[in-house]
Amino acid sequence: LGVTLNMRHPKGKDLFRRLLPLADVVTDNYTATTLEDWGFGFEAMRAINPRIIYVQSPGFGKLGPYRDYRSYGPLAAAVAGLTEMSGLPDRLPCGWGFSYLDVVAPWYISLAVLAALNRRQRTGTGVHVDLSQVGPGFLLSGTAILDHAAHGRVYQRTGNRSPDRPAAPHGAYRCKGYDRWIALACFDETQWQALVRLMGDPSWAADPRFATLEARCANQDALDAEVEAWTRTQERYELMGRLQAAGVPAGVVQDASDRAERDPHLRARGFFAEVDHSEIGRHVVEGVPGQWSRTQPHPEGPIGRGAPCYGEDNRRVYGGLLGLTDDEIDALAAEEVI
Amino acid sequence: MAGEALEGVRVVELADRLGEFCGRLLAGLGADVIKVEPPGGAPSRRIGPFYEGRPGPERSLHFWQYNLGKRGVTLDLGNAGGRDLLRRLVGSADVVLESYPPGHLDGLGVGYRDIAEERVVWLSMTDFGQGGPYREWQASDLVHLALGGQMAVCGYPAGDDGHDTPPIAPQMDQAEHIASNQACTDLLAALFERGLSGRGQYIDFSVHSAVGACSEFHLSTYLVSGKVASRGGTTSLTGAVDRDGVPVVTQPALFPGEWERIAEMLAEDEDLRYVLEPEFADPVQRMTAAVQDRLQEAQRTWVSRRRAEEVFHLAQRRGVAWAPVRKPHASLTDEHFLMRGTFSEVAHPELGRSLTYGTTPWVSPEMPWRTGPRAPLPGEHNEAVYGALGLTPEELAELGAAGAI
Repeated sequence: LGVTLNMRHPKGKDLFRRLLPLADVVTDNYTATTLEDWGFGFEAMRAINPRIIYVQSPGFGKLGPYRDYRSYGPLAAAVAGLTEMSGLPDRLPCGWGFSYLDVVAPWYISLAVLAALNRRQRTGTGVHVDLSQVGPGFLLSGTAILDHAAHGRVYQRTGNRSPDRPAAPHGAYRCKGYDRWIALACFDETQWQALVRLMGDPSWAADPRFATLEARCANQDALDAEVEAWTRTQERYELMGRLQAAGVPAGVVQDASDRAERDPHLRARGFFAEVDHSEIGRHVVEGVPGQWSRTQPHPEGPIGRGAPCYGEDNRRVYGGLLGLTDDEIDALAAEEVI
Repeated sequence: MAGEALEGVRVVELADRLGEFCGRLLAGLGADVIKVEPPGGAPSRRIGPFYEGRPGPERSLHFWQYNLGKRGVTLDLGNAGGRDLLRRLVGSADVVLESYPPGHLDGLGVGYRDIAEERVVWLSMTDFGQGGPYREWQASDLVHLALGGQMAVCGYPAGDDGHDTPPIAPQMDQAEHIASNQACTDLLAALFERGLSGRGQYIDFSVHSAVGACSEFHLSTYLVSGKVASRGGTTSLTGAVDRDGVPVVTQPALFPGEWERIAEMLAEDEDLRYVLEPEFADPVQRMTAAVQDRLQEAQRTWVSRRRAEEVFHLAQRRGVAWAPVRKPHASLTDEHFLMRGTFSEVAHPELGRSLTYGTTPWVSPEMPWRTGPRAPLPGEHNEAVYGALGLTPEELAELGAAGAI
């Protein structure tokens, strides 16, 4: 549901105050003190509704000297070290081609809300959670922090290679067509031998430089060049099917159109869901990754609709939930309260 | 009233690298997570890096990172006594988290239908799920990030002759992070629902689908508009590096007021005052290639005269959302993150020292995040856990002699 509400207007504050007893959870990603400045810090909200759960997620969090610092997804990834970990070793990091932490931080908001709801089932009390966009990023840098703590080692990126779980070849290789690629990985001898057979047992594969996994890892530049000379003659999806049939982990580097049009598995799993939008009509969205035996979640949620339009549910919420009459709602709109 | 979120919740984890991070999150939330390993230890103990560079089941930093806060037992699923133990263990569980290949546990007679009571929430995490055309396919972190769409948009921009570099997979098991974050949310939701209905359920979780749902707006943009993003087009990494070569994220102005703050900051340098010209102030003109080139040149020049960390604070104190590209460990000494308890010292008695982990995504005195103890040794809690199930020391000794644990 989506409503509009002018929180600076006394009547707006009054409406919010009347919504609070009906709520289980309040979440916001305003700056750290916005809600508090409007008169709705956690303690104030708790005084109105003792069971309220409040999860706030300003860029850097509320506690600490960076309280008023600003964050966007790319910036949060940079501070948490995740940007540094993406790219070729001999070039500047390329970072993520999208705002990873714009996706991850909301997962942690969900995590905090659900954790608090579970806790409230047991204790009957709500909580305040001071989350941030940057913070979850420190859980996602793998062993880099631990390796630094243990050995003083400074993380060095290695492009698409796999230094901690030895594999070679391991990377993205060009296929037939413009900017078409396949990712493939050989972690053991069986996978490597299967790849060699698929390539038609070329003589270069018998070179001592490629005789063992250790040797292949040590000569990856040469190995990659040989493998790519073969993959560039191959159609990417056809090649993926043959590699997988032979037991070699492989996947086409799929862009958004590939995932939507050329991934029969996503489709078979019911990954794509349809939702209603009041202006653009029925449209397709990403679904959920799990298939549940009893209470299957759906992007439409319990109200059976996609994202709301601006103020779409003002009447439903202020009328249906708070009991305001149509005239009262119209008056609030005229006063720019909603 | 203080209290960990999942106090009193028991999780039995039969997961390898695919789902271990999910188990770690549940432990962080206060659950009693019991990791079940085969005798001799889980395969993830063989993933590096290793302590002091020497491999060994009790030396894997990878295992430590993803199994923090869990207890550990061993049992052999290939042994009838081992399977019976698993049955008893699951009888004490609220949640089962497993990542064996599809149908593997069913084949051993210890699948969901065989051993889970109605109250159990059971999540099977596999590369492609329990059904569908790719069910038997092999994957890895790299393969998931290829299929999931991350690599297609990560990398360097094309030159005049197209791309001379491949799509890039961001490193350090991100596909597993992406999957585990979502699986943990699923488990918390199913547990909450169980609190209302009294019933558990089975969740068939596909890493491929989870990763496919993690490209921000790229897939939804295509689905609605048919547009496909190219890679290397990030607007915030524009090649600005500080005087020591450290890259800086120069987030462009998106909201009213942001441009004016950026312009005033750049104009501190006399030779960059040209950014105050009207063509820069107009948001439409500012996006044209000619003005963008001059703007980025000004930003690069301004940043190159300073240190990245200095840029961070100069910019942020003006309300400009710029920041350094830090190394993953670089925030360990940052007062802000120290005050928030983001990192924790975890004792490793066997090493005679403690090690620092990134542990705590939020601050909440009433719902704290648990930050230890260190990952279990193989079979470390056999006696405690199996003893609490009613097994006597003699029975445990027999099971040990039979190779069941």
